[in-house]
Amino acid sequence: MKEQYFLKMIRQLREKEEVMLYVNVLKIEETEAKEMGAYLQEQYHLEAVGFPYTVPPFDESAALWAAKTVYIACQLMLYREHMEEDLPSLLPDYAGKITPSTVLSADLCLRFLPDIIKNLRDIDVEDVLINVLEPLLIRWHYSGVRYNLPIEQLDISWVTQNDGLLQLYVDRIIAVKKIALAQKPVFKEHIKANLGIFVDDYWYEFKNILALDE
Amino acid sequence: MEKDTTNDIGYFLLTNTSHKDDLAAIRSWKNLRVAFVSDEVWVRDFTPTQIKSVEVKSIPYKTLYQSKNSKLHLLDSLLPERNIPSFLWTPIERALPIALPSFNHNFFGIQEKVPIKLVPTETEADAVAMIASLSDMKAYLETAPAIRLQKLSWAVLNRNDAIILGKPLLPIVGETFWNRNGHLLPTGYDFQLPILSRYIQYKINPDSMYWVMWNKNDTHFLLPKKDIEPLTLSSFRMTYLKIGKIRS
Repeated sequence: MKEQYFLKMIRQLREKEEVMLYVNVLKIEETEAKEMGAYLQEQYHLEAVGFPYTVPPFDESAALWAAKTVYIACQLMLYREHMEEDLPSLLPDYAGKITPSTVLSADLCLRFLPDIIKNLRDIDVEDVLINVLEPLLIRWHYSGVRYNLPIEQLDISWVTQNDGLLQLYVDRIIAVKKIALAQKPVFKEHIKANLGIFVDDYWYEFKNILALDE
Repeated sequence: MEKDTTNDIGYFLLTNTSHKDDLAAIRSWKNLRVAFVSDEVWVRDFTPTQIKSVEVKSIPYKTLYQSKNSKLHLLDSLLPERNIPSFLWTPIERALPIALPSFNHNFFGIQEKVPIKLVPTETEADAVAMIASLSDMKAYLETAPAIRLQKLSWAVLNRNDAIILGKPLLPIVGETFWNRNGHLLPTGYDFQLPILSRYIQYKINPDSMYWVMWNKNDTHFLLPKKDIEPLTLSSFRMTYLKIGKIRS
């Protein structure tokens, strides 16, 4: 039986929050991808128990794409045998549309991308790989709320399509206390409603933003 | 000068020996004299003011006489009742000595018990716990922001109700409680003797393993602290599913 390095690495990452690379293999077998899909689906349903409103269905292709992206990004962090020009082709963007389903499914693995970029930056600030990964995070900004994203470049339109996703997004903004995002009118009203009269207890800085409006 | 005996009105008071103690109020009038005859107590030499005073009027089981022409008439009565008795009169101070009660060195009040009672109180206190129905909780939690649940924990009480602990509580209907030294008391109520709250806590819950929950009818039940879980939507949904299976 062949070792399933891809599955092993993603499992380790999700369960122990550690990256363990076994060997430099960029190719992913069909059977392993299938098993990965099943694993991610199981993980998604475990997490979905805590999603507010109705839960969007699992999207396997998006989840798999995210897992592959994270896996390859980690591989490239350690073993860099490619030319700079090849990097974008190794890390393609997701072909399908961005919907609440794909965003939440991809987030299973994409949420680790900010840390990977931070590590790359610690090694070499001018690494080309950073320039390849950052646009991904800008597009899938639900996974990058805690990352320092250029706020004006974000496409917020799909966030408000789904009540559950909007609530999860706002929960994440409040959890990391991201003032820059909270200032967006779409989120500001929602955060205000969420915190209600308990702004002082939960997020004191947000009160200053509200005070500016008056 | 010779006394005018015809106009010499003296006042007398007659009572029973068993009511001797009721004379305490007039003992301080030094002009009075007292005589004991078998089971009767006689007091004489009241002044007209004294006989009409509140002190005399408040003595129970007494008969008042006035003396005229060596006869005793009932007070304000014209008919003589009897002759003026001739006894051995002693000043009231000597006749009714004061006895201090001896101090009981062995009194510890061991048998006495204090009932624990809850009484309505005006003091304001923040609610830190609430009992709410699971269906009300479900309606709110399904769309609740995660931040509102962050500081809360909960435990299921029975098939219909759960208790939520923490601050600020959820904006749903429920019975609220406040905390006094580990007792969760219904809001608006306090112990009749709040000073005993620590001691009651020590008696009921010496190891602080429980929250002591009080009902308004002075009864209480214990809520094990180890059974309280952080409140999250997933925790609630899983539990609600299990309870649903038990119900059906």
